[in-house]
Order: sequence, then C-alpha cells, then structure tokens
Amino acid sequence: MSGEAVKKEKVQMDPKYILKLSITLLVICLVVALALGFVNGITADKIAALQEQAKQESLQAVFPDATFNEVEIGDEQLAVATEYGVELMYIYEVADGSGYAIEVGPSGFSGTIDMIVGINADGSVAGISVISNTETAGIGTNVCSDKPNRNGVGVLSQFIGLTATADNPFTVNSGSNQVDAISGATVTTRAITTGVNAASVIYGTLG
Amino acid sequence: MNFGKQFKEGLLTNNPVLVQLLGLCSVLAISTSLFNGIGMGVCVTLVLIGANVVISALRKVIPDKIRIAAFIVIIAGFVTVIDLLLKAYVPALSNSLGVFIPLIVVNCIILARAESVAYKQGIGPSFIDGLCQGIGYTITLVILCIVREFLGYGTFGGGLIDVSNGFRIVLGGADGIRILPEGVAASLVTMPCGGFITLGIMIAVMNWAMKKAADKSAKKEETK
Repeated sequence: MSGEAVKKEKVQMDPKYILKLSITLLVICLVVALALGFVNGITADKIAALQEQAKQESLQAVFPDATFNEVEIGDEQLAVATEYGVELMYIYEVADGSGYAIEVGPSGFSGTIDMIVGINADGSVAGISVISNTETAGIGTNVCSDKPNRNGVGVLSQFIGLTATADNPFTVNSGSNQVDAISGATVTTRAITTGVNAASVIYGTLG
Repeated sequence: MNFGKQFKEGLLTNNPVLVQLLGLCSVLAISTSLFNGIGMGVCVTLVLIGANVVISALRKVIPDKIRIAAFIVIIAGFVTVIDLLLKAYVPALSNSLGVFIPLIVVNCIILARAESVAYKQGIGPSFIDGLCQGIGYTITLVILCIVREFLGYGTFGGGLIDVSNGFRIVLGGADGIRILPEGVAASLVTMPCGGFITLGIMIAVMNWAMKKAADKSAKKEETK
C-alpha cells in the first residue's frame, strides 16, 4: 500500500511530466492571448473613440459649445482631493477663460461616481454631469441622471449658480448652503455634494 | 445523446439557476430589466457554448492535473472577447451590466459544465449541452427580470422597448412600457433582498409544479 503511494509520488515528480504540464498550459495561454490580441486590435480604436465621445458629451453638458484644454494637476490640487476623500481625474480649462471643468470621483453608495463639475470664473457652479456611476438603480441613479424631485428640481440642477468655499461648503438637508436630497438617496446626494465641494475648493487653488 | 432530454434538463429538471443554484450572484444583481436579462443570458450562453466546444475538443490534450487552470484560461478568453465586443458595439449593455460581464469568468455554471460534461464527452453533445444550459439560464433570468421589473419599476421591457416615439426596439436607454402608474411600484423588489425573495418564490413555484407533475405520472402508473 505504502509502496504504491511512494511510486505514485515518484511519477508526479517526473521532470518530463512537469514539463508536459507546463508546455500544455503555455500553449493554451499563448493561443488564447493571440486570439485576444486579435480581437483587441479590432475593437481598441472603437472603444477609445466611444469613451472620448462620452467624455466630450459630459464636458459639453457642463459648458455647451466650448473647447477645452487639459490642465496639469499639481500637488496642491491633489492635497485638496485627498482632504475631501475624492479621486481627482482631470482638470480642463475652458479655452475662452470662462471657467474650469473638473472631473472628480467621490465615493457613492456603491463605488466611485465619475462626475464632471463645471465652475464659472466667479467660482459658482456652472453645471454637473455624471459620466458613470454604479449607484442603486431607480434610487441613486435618479440623483445622477438629475431626475426632478417633487419640487421639479433635480439634485444636480440645484447647485447651478451657487458657490461653495472651504469655509461655507454645500451641506445636504441642513446648514446655510443647503442642498436637498431625494428621499432614499441621501448617500448618493452627499457623495455628489462632496464632489462639488472638492471641485469648488480645487478651483480656488487654480490661480 | 438525446437533444430533447438535454433540453428538458437545461430548462427544468437540471436548470442551472433554479435547480443547480449556480451563478446566483450575477442573476440577483442584474435581473432588474428585460434588456439586462436578455443581454446577460445571451453572453453566458455564448461563453458556455464556446468553452464547452473548445474544452471538449482539447479534452485528450489537457492533462488531468492542470485541467482547472486550462478551463479558466479558455473561459476567460471567451469572456474577454465578449467583453471587448460589447464595449465596442453595444456600449449601453456594457455600461448596464458593468462588472458582471468580466465576472462571467468565475460563473460556476460554466466551470461546472466544463468539468462534468465537456471534459468527458465529444464536441457534439458538449455543444448541445452548452446551448441547452444557456437557454435554461436565459429563460430563467428573463422571467426573473420581467417579474422584478414589473413589481419594482412598474414597467415592461426596460432598456429595450422605447414607446416615447412610437413602438421601437432599441439597445439600451429606453424606459420600457409603463404598466403601473409612477410611484406605485415597490422599489424593494429591485434591491438585492427583493432579488432573493423573488428567486426563492420562483424556485418554490417550480418545485411545486414539478412535484405535481411527478405525482400525476405516479398516479397514472398506479391505475395501470
């Protein structure tokens, strides 16, 4: 019995067998990788174009008919983003100097909300556009799609024209710079508010 | 292999979702609109067929000891191809299903069929098995979607049927046909817990129906 087990063990350790295993797996991986490379070659340009289009649409939603120049993100801006607990993806300057579009990613109810906040030259909010989100369908997504509440105003729209500063940030359902949440979607509204506050303060650091 | 028998297995007696209880994570997460259900069902069916056929063709080449690793590489290959194609040509579905498309790689329905069917049988039966299991998965998912969408949003055909400007079939972004007035629907059903409850009721109904059918045929045997 034990002799058999030892014999079996020896077969397992056979270098030729190990080589056979490795080569089989290597060949399978190679073929799969080649196939994926081929498909990627067909789809990569198309996917990049679609992503660029989605981003342009979001930028245009904030500043219609504007052209944008990307601004390099400095340490000061990153420090503000870290302080507010949001990701800072891109900063765009509107070419005619009328404001900035800042792409930030606050943490929502589930995952990061990728959003663009437009800030006018006077520091007020020009518009907000959510590029992608993974919020709860039918609740959090209503916030991100700017669906009007019972007063007829969407969560995103109510920021337009208002100004937040580090000392007087937007707060949800209370405070002097109040914005209203959709009932049931307070967490998502708070996330959006954090994103707008962070973008406003980041704007302040942009000279 | 008998196609009718395999079809019945995939749809009823060995349904991947209702009987084997496999791949429930994505089933519960995405079954909130008809568009999602059909899209996910088609993707899983394609991966199932592709993985089954390739694994069956390679079953004599793949050594026993590394079969799981080989299966996963092959399955991941098919899933990534579908993920890339969706991103390029049906971006609305890709956005709507999100991470659950890449997660098909670890969907245990596919690994289970590879291990229990494709690794042991020829290409033909494996192909039919993938097709039947995929259809069973898709139909279950679509029923779940229709029920949850109706109770949770009060609509039918969300994402797929656009009635705002005449009747049109679109790929994503449509609101569907509104059946219940707005605000009447129970959002709970669209939450994860609502998914569990709906799926549980569905399994109960199916077990009840199957038991009834079994009793009936048993009675027939007796009276003979």
